[in-house]
This record gives sequence, structure tokens and C-alpha cells, in this order.
Amino acid sequence: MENNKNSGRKGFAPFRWLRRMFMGGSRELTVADERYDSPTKLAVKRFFRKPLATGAVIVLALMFAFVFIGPIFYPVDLSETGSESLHKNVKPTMSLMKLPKSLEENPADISSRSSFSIGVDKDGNTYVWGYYYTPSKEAVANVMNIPDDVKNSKIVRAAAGSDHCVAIDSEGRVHAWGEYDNGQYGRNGSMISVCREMPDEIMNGTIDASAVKQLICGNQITAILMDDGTVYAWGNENLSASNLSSVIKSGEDEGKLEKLAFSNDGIYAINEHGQFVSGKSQKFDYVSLFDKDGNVVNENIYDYIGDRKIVDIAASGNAIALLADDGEIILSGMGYVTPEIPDGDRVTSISAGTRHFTALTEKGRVYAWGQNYRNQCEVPNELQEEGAVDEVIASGFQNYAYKDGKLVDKWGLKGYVMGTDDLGRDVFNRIMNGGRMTMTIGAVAVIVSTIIGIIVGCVSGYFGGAIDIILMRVTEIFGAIPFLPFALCLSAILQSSDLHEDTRIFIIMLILGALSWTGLAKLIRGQILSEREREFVTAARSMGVKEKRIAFKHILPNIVSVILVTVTLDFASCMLTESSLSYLGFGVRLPRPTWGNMLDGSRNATVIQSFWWRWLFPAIFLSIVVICINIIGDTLRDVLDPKSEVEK
Amino acid sequence: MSAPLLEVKNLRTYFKTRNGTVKAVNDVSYSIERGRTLGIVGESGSGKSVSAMSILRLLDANGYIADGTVTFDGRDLATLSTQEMYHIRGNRISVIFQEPMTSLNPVFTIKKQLSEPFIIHQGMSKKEAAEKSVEMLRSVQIPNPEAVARQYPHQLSGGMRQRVMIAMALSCKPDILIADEPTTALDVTVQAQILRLMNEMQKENGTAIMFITHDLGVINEMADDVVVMYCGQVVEQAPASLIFADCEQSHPYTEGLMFSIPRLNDDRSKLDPIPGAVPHPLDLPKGCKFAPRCKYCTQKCIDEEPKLEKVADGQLVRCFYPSKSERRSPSHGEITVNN
Amino acid sequence: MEKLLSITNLKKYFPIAKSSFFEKPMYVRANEDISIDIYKGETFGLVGESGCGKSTLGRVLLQLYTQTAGSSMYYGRSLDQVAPGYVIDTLKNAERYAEKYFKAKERADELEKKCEELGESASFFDLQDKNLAAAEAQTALFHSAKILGGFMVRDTKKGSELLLQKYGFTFKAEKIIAEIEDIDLRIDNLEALIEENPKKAASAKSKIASLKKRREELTERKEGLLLSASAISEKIVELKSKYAGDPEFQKYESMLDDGVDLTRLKYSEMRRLRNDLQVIFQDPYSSLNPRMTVGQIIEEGLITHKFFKAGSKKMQQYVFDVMNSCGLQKYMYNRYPHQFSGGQRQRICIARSLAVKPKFVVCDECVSALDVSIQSQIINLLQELKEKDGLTYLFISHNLSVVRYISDRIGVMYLGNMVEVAETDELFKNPRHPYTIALLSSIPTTDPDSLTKERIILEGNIPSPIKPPSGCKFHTRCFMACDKCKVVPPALEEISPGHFVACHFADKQKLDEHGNFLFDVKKTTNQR
Repeated sequence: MENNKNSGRKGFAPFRWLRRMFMGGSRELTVADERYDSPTKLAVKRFFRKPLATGAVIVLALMFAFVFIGPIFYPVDLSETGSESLHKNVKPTMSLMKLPKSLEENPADISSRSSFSIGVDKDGNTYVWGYYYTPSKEAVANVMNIPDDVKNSKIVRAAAGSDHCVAIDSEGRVHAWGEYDNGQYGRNGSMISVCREMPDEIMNGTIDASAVKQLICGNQITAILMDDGTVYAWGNENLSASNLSSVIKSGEDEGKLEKLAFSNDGIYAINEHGQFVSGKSQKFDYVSLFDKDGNVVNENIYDYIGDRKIVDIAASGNAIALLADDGEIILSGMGYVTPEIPDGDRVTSISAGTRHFTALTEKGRVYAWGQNYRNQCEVPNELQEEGAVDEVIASGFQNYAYKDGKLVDKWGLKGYVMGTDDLGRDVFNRIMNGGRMTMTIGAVAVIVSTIIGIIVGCVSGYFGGAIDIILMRVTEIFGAIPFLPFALCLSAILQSSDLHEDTRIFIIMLILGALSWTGLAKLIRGQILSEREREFVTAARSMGVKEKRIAFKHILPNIVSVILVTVTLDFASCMLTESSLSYLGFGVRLPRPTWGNMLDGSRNATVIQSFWWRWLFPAIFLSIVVICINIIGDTLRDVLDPKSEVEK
Repeated sequence: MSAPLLEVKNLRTYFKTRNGTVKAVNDVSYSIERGRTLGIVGESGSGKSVSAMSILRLLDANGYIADGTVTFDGRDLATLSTQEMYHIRGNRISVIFQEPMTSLNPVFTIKKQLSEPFIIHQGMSKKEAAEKSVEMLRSVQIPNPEAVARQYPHQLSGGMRQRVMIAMALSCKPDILIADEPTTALDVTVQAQILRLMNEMQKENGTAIMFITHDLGVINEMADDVVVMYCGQVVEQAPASLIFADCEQSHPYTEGLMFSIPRLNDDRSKLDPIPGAVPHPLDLPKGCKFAPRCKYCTQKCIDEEPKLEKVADGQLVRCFYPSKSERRSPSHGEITVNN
Repeated sequence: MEKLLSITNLKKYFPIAKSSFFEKPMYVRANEDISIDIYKGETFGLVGESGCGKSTLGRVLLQLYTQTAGSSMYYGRSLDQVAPGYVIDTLKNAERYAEKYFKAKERADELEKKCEELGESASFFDLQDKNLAAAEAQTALFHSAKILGGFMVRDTKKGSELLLQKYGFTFKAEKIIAEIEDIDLRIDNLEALIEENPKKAASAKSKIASLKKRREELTERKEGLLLSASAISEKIVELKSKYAGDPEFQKYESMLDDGVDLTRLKYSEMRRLRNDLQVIFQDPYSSLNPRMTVGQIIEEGLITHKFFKAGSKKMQQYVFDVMNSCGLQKYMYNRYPHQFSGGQRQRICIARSLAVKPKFVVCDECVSALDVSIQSQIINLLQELKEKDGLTYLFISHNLSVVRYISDRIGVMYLGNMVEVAETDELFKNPRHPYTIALLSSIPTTDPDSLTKERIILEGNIPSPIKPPSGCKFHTRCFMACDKCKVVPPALEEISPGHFVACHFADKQKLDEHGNFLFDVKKTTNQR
């Protein structure tokens, strides 16, 4: 007796209820008998006999896993770092780190700032790889097209800005191509008047190529540092290096410059005395330090350097790193955490990408720090061992590690599987996270509508009479509300109120649910009315079974299948409605991604024509999920239909 | 004797299902002569309706005729084109179904539905066809036929609808009328009306009737020849006069059917039912299909399948022991009960 | 023979949805003034064509449809056992109930007079109103007189008070008896437990002791209650003796009835009675819940009526026994209905109904949907079970041969009315109602002689039960109808003991001993 009692109570209560609801009673079999299948199990079996439906279930399960498990590993970055102004509208490509073969063997110079990279090998050949989009129709404006005279010359140095390239050949000629509007090179361009002009000797003459110490490009600016400390610089000075003149002047006055570095909006240098030169810029005048309590204290960078000499400088877009002669890396700008260098080893050189830094130590270990949103700092493990590398080039979002002149490893951003959007955000990542939002909204809306629908339908169908009439009129009123305009109005009202975004999204879910229950309620009511007239209900009544028991034990299990089908199909339609709302800009707001508002960005012709990846991928995902759900729903309807028991 | 009007020979109709092929009709042969009535009796699933539908090639999508010929008026129906088959159906062979409501279109008036075959098959004008259809209604003894012609099917009672169906079936003076349980859904008094009507129409037109039913009483009243079917096979074929008289030889199934129903002049204190149920069509016994339910079953019946053999003039029986007196006597082999 | 059910003037009208608000209400008259008695242990057959109201009658009897008028008295349990609330209510408001009857009677008489005056020109609605008023008056009379008897007109106040007291005592006594039985059951259970599990013997024994003590207490109280009840009964008899010679008093006193009026029971009271009154439906496919196993289906009633505790071993054993007696195997316990054939499903339905040990079973066309060879199996099963458990059947079928085979008495219905009731043999040998004769003659049989027999084939269809023909409802199709039939409805009269006929020509014998017709009508044979 005791055992018998317990056997029916296995498992956690809600699961037990669910099991009982969908799979029928789960009592232990006490009669020796081949176990016979309940109608529900038969339906499940029939369901999985259909290849299309099974496929749909698998695809949907994968989608669910993708959107619900994926974000755990790749969370969406809604802050500034998620977007990358240098990577706007990059098409789906994985070529950003595809180094040409010859550069792997003997590179002379590699440089990158945005989505494309330039490299020169020791034989003087120039290569450009990666991706660059220009709305301009001119061939020269596209950095990917290397001009013929560059191809035909022996190039010794090359550098890439954010939208232009500069190269110096062995004869001292300076070549440049790419966008030119901001005076990146030459003397034409719409903005040329406010830019620093290209020096004549470079434009029309040559320089001594062997005396070039450094060729470096900022965003739209270029600087050449000669061995004698002379600096040639040109380009969009206002925007990309407002302290350019002061730095050059300091070089002339206080000591010749040894090394230059461009951040997003400034140029920084070290001079022959090992001093840090920042010109007029005060952006990096402070270093953030932790005191013994762990609080952040800002200290003047010059005081902090004190008597130490700076031996190396590197600048990322918004941070600067200085290597002091005692091996300490002094960082200013973004609060990145510098890596701990083990005792007995010291950093010998530092290098900067657009958003990160890399350091090489005496013993040949490599360390990287900075923004890791695009895997720039994922230094392969083997490079942290001694003597693995003797040269590291951080350029743009990639790093190339060399030993004995040969490429041994590379890491960083390979590219974007599904491209990026207008703010340089990874579409793949947003689809993953947007899917979660869309599906969550769909699910919550469906749960809300199902609960309301079941309650109203059951009460109305079972009790009948005046209650039925009143509830059905209410249902009709709700059904008569034009859905889209109403949802738009409500969303608009919500938008103007200053609610927290999460609250707003939750309210959107509720609105969706509260407006879509009417169909289900009517369906359930109809089903109950027809089930009530079935003979087995009369049989139960003639047996004296209590009304409540009839309703829940006899009638409800028979309509669960119908509810299930409707809920499945409703889920798809709720997702679509959410997407429509978001597409129209009334649902979930940016920067939070949903499949709907990802499509929203695609309302203009340029996007549709040129940036197909921005609307195609969310659309494909949305369609796949909705189609899968509809297939599953339709198949459910087929297999749960008692008529389908006669199999053909 | 001239060739029969319709001859079905070695017909096999199979249905493909997920779990295997259902042999709904398995080697069935019978024939109908002009002006005679052939009664087909059997329980549900015995293949009686399927054999009739095979004649008209009106099978479900998963059914097909695996073997056998259907010869109608000297032509093999299987060789006819779809177009020719249209001409045969409704024109030369008509069907009445069990439930008249489902075979009448609820959105057209009776007149419209009745006049359709005249317009299609006999090329009459609309007006002529309408007049003709009223005449047809009158001929099936519908009172006030002009009014009924203007009504819709749902406005008529079950008996009236079945009369309309008969009128429709007989409208083109077909050679054969296939009646598939035409009176099962009707009350006894109405059934009697319909049966009388069908008899009268037959006398008048010389139509051959193929009457399918599970009710032995109705068969007794209607049929000249009787075919008893069980599990897709003919188990007995005999003239009605012979089968309902207490004849010497019969199939145990026929005998069981006769005994299992209570009769009006019945004084038994207990009925003698046939035990068990019809086997599942996918799980038929190896030997005689009736063996598991037969009270005279021997080992031979379980192992071998008997053939349909002639036992008397016009009587064919599919049993190893067709003689009633013999199988009831103690000399009958050891009876095996296999449940 | 002991009566089990007594139906008097049962009416069931289904209201028709009105197409406009101002329309007068109309009804489908499914049952009209049906009065039959059903005796313990018999099988009462009910035949008729579709739409004659036989199934409705079966369901109204079980109160699955509310009865429009008339009473259905049930004698399977005593009034004290059921202790229905309506008895107390009637006695408390005895005067009001009596008054209600007299008012209703007055109105009915008034309307009847009006209709008589109008004669031919009386409209359908006049007649309907009259009809309904009469039914209402009669029902009011039943409500009052069946409990109060002669006190309805004499000494109402005193009589009802005494009765109220008496019933108060007896109802309480019954309740205590039920409690005692419950205690007995618990004692049995505990004793069984001691045998099974000696470890718990000590606690169980102490429980038994306390239960036995309680039992004694209750028995004492019961005796006391019964004693006071009999004292009051004496007083009542004394009071009644005063009116021994009063005809008015005796008239109502004769209507006194100790049965339970099913129509007046509350839903919950009826629910407790349901295991006594069971039904087996026609369609074994729709009458089984597709989502419950056979075991669950059969156990549902047992749990509802607290035969066993849910999930107990004993119940399962009992279910196996019931299944076995209905020809179902043990291994089917966990199967679902869709895995069975029609015959087996009908067996499940029978097992479900019979598991709760009913006294009265309505078999509503329960073999019609089955195959020929299966029908006889089910009929035999029903016969066996009846003999074993002493059941009473109301066997409803359109198949006369089946009804003849299984029934002791048969009632023939036509358009909501009972037209003939007789013992089976009598009905078939000596049918008196023309409809019965036509029905008998239209059944196709396997008898080779039947082909040459003369037969009557009725013309036309059953008229609409919304506006049935006036007078005898059968006159539109009857081959012997005269002018009288069109106006005067014939009453169901006893022409010989136990043979009731509702026909103006009931006295005329219609068949000779060979089954030949003794009257001249248009006859046909089915000879070809």
C-alpha cells in the first residue's frame, strides 16, 4: 500500500502536473502487461514519423539553443565598444586576417587601422587585404585598388590610415591612394582648405628613402619621421591630430623626435632624451593608479615618469602606452589593465592596434591587453612561452607574430560572419541576442494570452448562460480593437514616459498577450461546448462524477491538444507582431537588438541595395523560426486530430 | 444461357497502409444477370463495399486493384479510359450510398441535382430535364413532387432523401444499381417502403441490383442470389431460396450468422453468438480465415486454406466440411479451440 | 412483484430557440404523458422508430434531462436512506404547497373551459397553454399529495408538523446507521491490517476499541430515535383514523407514496443515487473518454461513490473481477479505448456501468452499432449479468427481434406517446395497436415463409413532434383511422391484465392465431 502511494508521486510537482496534463496519468503499472501507448504518446510517435516536422523540431531546437545558449558565451555589448566606427557596414567576410603568403615569409612593414590592412614584403611588393567600402564611384577612392605605379615600384614602407594608404618606394617617392576628401593626400578634395597641406617636397619631389625612420598614418593623417628628426605631416589635422604642430615644434625645440604614435585625435612622440612629447594635448596627462585601498588615484604622467627614460611609445585609438627604461608600461587613457610581467623578464617593445596593445618581452613572450571585443587580446597560449617570438606587429584589430622573419602565429579579428551594421556592430552577435529578445517576447506574450484565453474560454464554455454571454461580448470587444494602431498608440505613450527599458519591454509583452487571447478563448469555448455534448461526458454525469472533476479530468485533457496547436501557432504570430512593431520603431528600442529592429535599420534603399547582409540575415532567421513553428503547429494539428488515427 | 451482365473474376483489391498491405478483397468472383438481385452479406471489414467500389474504380487514393477482371456487358472495365468510365458511372451503373445526406449536395435544390445526369448523359435542355426530374420523383412515389423538387436536401426526411437518391440512381435507366447499405440508416417502416419501391422499380425497368448489407433479413427479402463474404473472401455463394431454407450444406459462418441473430419466432433461451471478433486485416490467420471463430475447427482448418467449391447446384462453399449433419456428428474430426 | 420505478404522467418538452423575441415559446414534445411501472428484476423493452422519444425517456428517467412534468418515483432505496431535502421543505411549507396546487388546478380548469368553448377554432397555442397548465397542476398535486397524503386537505398544519417530526427522527436514524456501517468497514479494514502487518497491531487494536465504543454509542442513539419516530407514527395513525370515513381525505391519502421522487432531488442528492441508476449508451466509440485507460474508466465510478479508496489494491482486484465477468481480460486494464473493437468497447461500457452495483440499467440502443455476430455476444452478456446480479433493465431499441428476445414486457412508443404496453408474448401474439402491427409486419426476417406473408407497409413519415397531429397522433398513417381518431386522443387503457393499448379500436382483435390479419386493408406481399 505504502509503495503504491509513493509511486504516483515521483518527481518535482510542476513536472508531475505537466506530465499528467500532456502525457496522461503516470501511475505505475501493476498489471504485467506490455505497456500500451496513451493517445498522446501515439500522437508523439506519429509526429516524429513525419520527416518535415521532425526536421522543423530539430531546426527550431537548434535555433533555441542558438539564441538562448549562444548569448551566454557571446553577450551583446550595448555599450560603445559594441559598435566600431571603423567597421561600419562591413560585408560578411573572413578575410580581415588573410595575410598574403609572401608577407608570411618576409614582411617589411604591416599596417592597419580599420577593416583593411596593407603590407610590404622585403622584395618591395605591396599587398592590401581585408574589406573596404566606399560610396564613391572613383576607382582610386577605394583603398583596395593598389595604383599601378605602386605595383611597379619597389616599396620600402607603407602605412594604412582609416581610409587611405601611403607608401614610400626605394627611390624616395611617396605614393598615396584611397579617400582624398579630407586631404589625406594631394591637394584636391572638398575639405582640403581646413586640412594641413601635403608638403611640396613630398608631393612633387622625393625624399631619401633610406633616411626614413618612420612612416605612420592616423585616421586621415600621415606623418613621416626622418632620421634627422624632421617630420613631414599632412592630412586632416583638426580632427585626427590637433596637437600636430605643437609636437613638431617640440621636436624642433626640445630634442629631436625618435618615435611617433597616432591616437584617434592626437599625435604623441618620444624624443631623443627619452621624454614623452604630447604637445598641446592634455588628454593623456594623467595615469590612473590604485592606492593601497584599491581606490583609483590619478597622478600626473610626467611626475609619474620622473627621471625614467621612455624607450618606446604606442598609441591605440584612445589610449597611450609608454615603456619606461625600467621595463614598466605606463598607460594613460582607457583604464586598461596592463599584464603582469613575471620577475626576471622585461618588456622590450610595445605595439598598438586600433583598440589594444601588445608587448614583447626580453624572453620572447607576448602579452596583449586592451579591448578584447574582437578577440584582439586572445594571445595564443604557445606565444606566452619563452622564446616563441622575436617580433610582434599589432595592426588594426590583428596581431602578427614573427620569429626569425617568419610568421609563426596571428590572432585578432578574422572578419564578420554576417557583416556589421551601420554602427559597426557584429550582425551575427546581434542576431543571436536579438533572437533571444524576440523569442522571449513571443513566449511571454503567448503565455499571457494563453492564460487569459484558457480562463475566459473555460469559464464561458463550462458555465454558459449569462456569464457566457458577458464574457463573449467582452471577447468580441477585445477582438474588435484594431491591433496595430492600438499597439502603436500604447507603445508611443510608453515611449514618451520615462520608464526603464526593461519595464517597457515587459509591458510590450503584456500588450501583445492582452490583445491576442480572443481567438484562443473562442476556440476553447467552442471546444468545451462540443466536448460537453460528447457521450462520455453524459456517461460521467450519469455516473455521478462531480462537475469539477468532469471539467478537469474528463473535458480538459481532451481539449489540451487544441490548445497546444493554437499556442504553437500563436507563438509564431506573436514573434511576427513583435518584429513588425520593432520594425516600425515602436517595439524594443535600439541599441537592444531584436530581429524586428534589426530590420528597422533597413528601411532605406541604400541599405537594401548595398548592405544586403543587414536585412537578409535577420529576415532569414525570423522566417526560419516562424516557418518551423508553423510546420510544427500544423503537424500537431494533423496528428492530434482523432480522424488521423486511420493511417493511410 | 447468355453471358452475365456483370462478371467479377478473381478480383483482388489491396490498400497500402503504413503497416502493410491490407487485402480488402482477396480473390472474389461473382456475377449478376439482367433483372436479378445479388445480395452481398458480411460484417464490417469483410470487403463487401470495397468490391463494389472496385467495379466502378472509385477507390481511395491508397487502394488499387491488384488482380482480376471486371467484365461489364462484354467489356473489361479495367481497360476503359477515365472518360469512358464517366459515361458508365451514373449512366449504366448507378450507386446508392448508406447515408443519403452525405451524397446529396446540401447547397443545390433536389431539382438541380436530379436534372444534372439528364443534361450530362442524355443532352436534354434545362427545361426538359427539370420536367423529367419531377417525373422521376413521382415515379419513386414521392407525394407532391413539384414541391419537393424545389426543396433542399436538409428539408427532407431520411426516407425521402433515400427516395431521391433512388430516383437519381435510376434516372438514366441504368443496367445495374449498386445499393450499398441503402436502408441501414432508416427506420423499419421506412425501410419497408424503400425495399418495396426498389422491387417495383426493378420489375419495371429490368435493372439488375447489387444489394450490399449486413442485415440477413433484408437480403432474404430482396436477393435472388446471395454472396456471403468474410475477411475479403467469398465464403459461400448460393441462391437465396437455398441459403435461407434449412439446407443441408453451408459454411459455418453463414450458419453462425443465422443463429446469432434473434428472430421473431425464436424460442431459444440463449443466443448462439459467433465467439471472438473479425481478425485485424493485417493479421489474418494462415489457414481458413474463419477458423479461430469456428466451432467446428480442426487442425486441418488451421493449417490449410479451403477452396471455394461447388457443393450443390448453384451453391459454392469455402469449407472443408460443408455438410451440416456431418460436421455436427461425432465422427467429425477433433475440434480445436484456439483462442 | 415489487415496483422499482413508477412513472406517472411524465412529460419532456424541449424548448425551441425562438427566432424572434415576440414569438410564443414552442416545444419539441419528446415525451407526452407517459405512465409506466417497472418491476424489480424484469427487462422492460422500449421500441419505436427514431424520433419517437424512447431514448429521451431513458435519459429523463435518469434525470440526465430535467423532467418537464410528472413524477418518477424510485423505490430502490427508502426515503429515509436518501433523506431528500424536498420532503422537509414540503412539510415545512405544507400549506403553501397545497395552495399552489389549488391555484394551478383553477387555472388549468379555466383554460380547458376556454378551449372547449373555442372548439375547432382553438389555436395551437391555446391548446399548448391548456396542456402545460394541466401538467403543471398535476405536478403540483404530486409534489404535495405524495408526501402529505390526506393531510393536504384536512388538518394540514398539525399533520405536517407530526410528519416533519417523524421524518426528522427517521432521517437522523438513517444517518447514524450509515455512520455505523462506515465504522464497521473501518473496523474490518483495521482487522485486515493486523493480519497483514503484525507490527502495527497494537495501535490498530486501540483504534478498534475506540471505534467499537463509538459504535455502541451510536447504536443507542439510533434506538432512541427510532423509538420516538414510532411514537409519532402512532400519533399520526391516530390523527388519520379521525378521517377514515372522509372520501375527500381518502382520495388524497391514496396518493401517499414512500418512494423517492427523482425529479425533485437536488443535483447533489441525485448524484449520490446515480450508482443505482446506470446507462449503457448506443455508441461505444464516443461514450468512452479517449484519454483514460480502461482501468481508469471503470474506477471512476467506484471512486466517485466511495466504494474504495483511490489506488487501493482491493479496488484493482474488484475491477479485475468485473472485467472478467464482462469478458475482458486482465491485460486490457492499462489499454486505451482506441485499441479496442466495437464489441470490446461495449463490454467496457457495460463493465463501467455494472461495477457500481446498479439496481436499474438503461440500455440505450446498446447493440445497434455493433456487427451482427457481436450483437448476440453482448445480448448474452447482458442476460447473464442480469441473472447474476438481479438487475432491472430498460432496454431501448428499434430492433423488434432483439427487444422480443431480451424483454419480459415491451412498450411501443410512437411520437412521444406510449401506444401499447404488454408482456412480450402477448404483444407478439395479440397486438392491438395498428402501429404495433405495422411495425411487426415491416421487419425483414430470415424466415423463408415471410416472403409470401401479407404485410402492411405504412405510408408517409413520422410527423413533426413540434406540432403533432391532433387526436390520436398515429391517425395520419393509420390504416384504420376514423373521424374520431382525428379529434379525440385515446387513453392508454388496460384491455386485459397487463396489456395496455391507446387506441379507439383496442377491443378489436386484429390477428388470428396464425398471424393473419382480421381486418381489411390495402395489403402487399413482398413476393417477387
